[in-house]
Amino acid sequence: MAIFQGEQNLFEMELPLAEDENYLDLMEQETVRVKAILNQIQLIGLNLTSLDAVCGRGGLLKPISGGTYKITKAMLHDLYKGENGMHVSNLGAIIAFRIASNLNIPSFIVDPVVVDEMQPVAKMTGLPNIQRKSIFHALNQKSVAREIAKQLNKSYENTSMVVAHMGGGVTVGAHYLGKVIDVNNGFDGDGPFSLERAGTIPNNELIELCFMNSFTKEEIQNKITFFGGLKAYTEANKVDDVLELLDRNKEEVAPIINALAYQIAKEIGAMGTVLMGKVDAVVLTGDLAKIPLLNEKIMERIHWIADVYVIPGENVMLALAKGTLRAMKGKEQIKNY
Amino acid sequence: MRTNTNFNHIDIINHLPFAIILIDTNECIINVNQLGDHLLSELHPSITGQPIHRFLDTSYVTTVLQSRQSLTKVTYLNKTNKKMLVHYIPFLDEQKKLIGVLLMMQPYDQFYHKVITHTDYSLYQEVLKVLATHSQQAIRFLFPNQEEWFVNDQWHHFIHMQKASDELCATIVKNIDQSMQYRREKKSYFTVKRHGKKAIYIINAKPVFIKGRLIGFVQTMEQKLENTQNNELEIARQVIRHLEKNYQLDDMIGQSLELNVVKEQAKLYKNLTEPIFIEGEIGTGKFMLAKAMHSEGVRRIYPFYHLNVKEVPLNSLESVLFGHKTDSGLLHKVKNGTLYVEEINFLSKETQEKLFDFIQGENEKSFNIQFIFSSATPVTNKHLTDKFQDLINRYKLKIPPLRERKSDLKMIAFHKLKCLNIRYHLAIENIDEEVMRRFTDYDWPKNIAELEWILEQAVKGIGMNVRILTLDHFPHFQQVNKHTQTIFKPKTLQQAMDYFERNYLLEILKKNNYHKTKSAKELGISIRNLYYKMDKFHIDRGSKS
Repeated sequence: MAIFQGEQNLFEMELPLAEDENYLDLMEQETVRVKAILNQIQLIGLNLTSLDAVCGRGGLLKPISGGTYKITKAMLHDLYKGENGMHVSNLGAIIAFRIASNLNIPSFIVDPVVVDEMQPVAKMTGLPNIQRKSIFHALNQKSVAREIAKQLNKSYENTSMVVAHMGGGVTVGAHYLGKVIDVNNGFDGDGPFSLERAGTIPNNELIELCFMNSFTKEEIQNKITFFGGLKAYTEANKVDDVLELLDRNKEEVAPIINALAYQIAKEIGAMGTVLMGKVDAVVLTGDLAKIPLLNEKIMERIHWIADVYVIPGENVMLALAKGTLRAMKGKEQIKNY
Repeated sequence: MRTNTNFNHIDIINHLPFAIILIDTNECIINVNQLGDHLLSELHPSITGQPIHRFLDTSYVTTVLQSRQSLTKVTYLNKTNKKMLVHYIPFLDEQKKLIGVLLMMQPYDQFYHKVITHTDYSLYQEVLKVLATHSQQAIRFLFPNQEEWFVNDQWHHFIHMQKASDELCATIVKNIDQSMQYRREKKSYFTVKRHGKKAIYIINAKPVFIKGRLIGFVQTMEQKLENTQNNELEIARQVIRHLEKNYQLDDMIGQSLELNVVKEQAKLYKNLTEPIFIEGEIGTGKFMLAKAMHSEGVRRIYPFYHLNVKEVPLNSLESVLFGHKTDSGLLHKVKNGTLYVEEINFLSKETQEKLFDFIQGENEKSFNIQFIFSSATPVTNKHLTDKFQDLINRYKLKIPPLRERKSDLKMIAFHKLKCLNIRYHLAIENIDEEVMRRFTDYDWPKNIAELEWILEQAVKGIGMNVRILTLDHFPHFQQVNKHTQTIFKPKTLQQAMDYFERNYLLEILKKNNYHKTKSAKELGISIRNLYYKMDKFHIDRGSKS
């Protein structure tokens, strides 16, 4: 939770669930979380009525184009039902709406993960009834892309760049004139491995794995989504763990980082071809960009494409605030779901 | 033991080697320490309450207020333009509410000095400089805006001392442009002709990246005279081979079908054990061909002997060949090698018989000698027995006279010219067309030897600056008509002396029936000197002319 005055981040704090609350169903968490947020605001002595708008993270909605969306009944309906899948991020819009409606102020979501601006050709696969989906770190990708465009003295709508978000999942997007025309679906196991995701696994081996040891569907999904990647090799859960391991046991960990860098570089190169080589910048962002060795190894392979910018971490809060501000100030059309 | 540790916090902050500046959320200065006051008061009389951007060229306070994250940036102070290293730290209150930004500022020079003192930075810098300065290549480093940052002496020399042409400069710039466009290493080539020599500049631009950003280019330049050098080297080698009479097939210049047929045949025959017969007029290069076959064949590690039948008195020929009393004879010396026998028309019938038996018998069994026979005149029954003729005619090579392969004339002439350029330190590039026309009209009765002799006479004593040989250099060609013999009219004293010397040598040689020892004695010179002079004047060793 963060409180912004204009673009200034006045206060920011993580409000994790208490241990006994972890067992709650996703939708049952709503009340608990809303209460925690309101308590914290009162604790720092901020008057709730001074709030102008509330913004939440967008969840798994229908595929939509990027931008700032007003939270509507239709949106809430899809999120409650989990029409497009259940994910913690579904709660974002629900909580924002609950707080805002009590205060009689507007509520928004900005660039949810389901932002879909993919060109049709990018969606095709080798099986006609399977299409590639656009699910990625749209919020952070778009936010850093805007930031870099500003540094380049250009508008986001006038640049083409490759942005690699490297975190729990790795998504690499081809941003072309303000739209992400292609991106790997890290959520569904497309592309490089990551901190905890297995990334693309050869089809046959994956099928073999599914029918071995009579795994259930959930078990397999869990295995490749939360127990793959760096975690599977090193048992590191967080970036800090990886950095510490690198410090302690470089010989063993460095080759794995190198392999990760190799896969990400390959994906960046692939997006370079999507943009036909006309790339203004390559951006490395996300938590994994805090690992200098990883950045170095990626740059070694891709610096010939364009200048590389590194924005480590993920400033979700600022991105949400900026998106909301753009909408409130009328700089950007508010979109309806 | 406890000492008085009652330090005043303000004192501590004032003693820090940094300027400390506290800024509120409106980006205005709340407070500064002593050093901060010292630095900022130069720019504006009042400090407190003033917006920070009054003092700093670029302020990152906004970014820090937005992200709540620390930053380190290099910034300039306004007005004084002092370079500063600035740490921006978000400042939170007890409830972790953002209330401002803390700036820690340090003069850049101080920071830089620390880096130089405590890191390997200057070591790398120094090593790089030494490497670049002592490189054979011309090297420079440029920023992406093509501004030069470093130029080594060789580069300076190429561009400024040698006054690089506009075209070369354009190529250098284009090379960088391409490297920038593709962000990859690019090679460019630039060819110039200088003093008739071809020079190739190899220009290479390599982009340099730091942390994925293009920070500039290393451009190198090398001048290569490779092609010309190779050519000259090859000609020099040929000259040496010529002096050593250590010929190869490539030394037979020309591309005419007639010559190529001979060369191809020679390649096939070179490793045979059966005798070979070379037929060709005076000066066509029979010796050269025989030596080349020896040098390129399997026998090259064994001896090569040259026997001119006409030079050996008839009665002693057999003992020369087969030995006599204590002397084991030439054939023993040549074992496994090549024996080139010239002017076989002058072999006696007895010797023919004996040679025939040797070749058919003992040679095949143990001597393994390659016999190469030659004759400048056609062999007939009058001179050689049928048996011997059959033996030598099995593998026959016929070198065409120059008049039958005039297409090669120009090539041979130019090749000879290159050799002469090296020998006499000249820079002749061409032969006038009129001269070439007359050359073509002429019949060359003494073939290549005559051509070489005429060219050598023409270039002797001419100036270093002569680039083209004209008819003036060939006085005896000025009035030549088809099918008429050369009437040599010497021009310079040297030419006249050479002309006389050659004719006199020929006269004496003729008189002594080409017996070299006798002739040398009569001339009062050593036999070595005589051979040298004969080569110099292109007098064929068996020639009757």
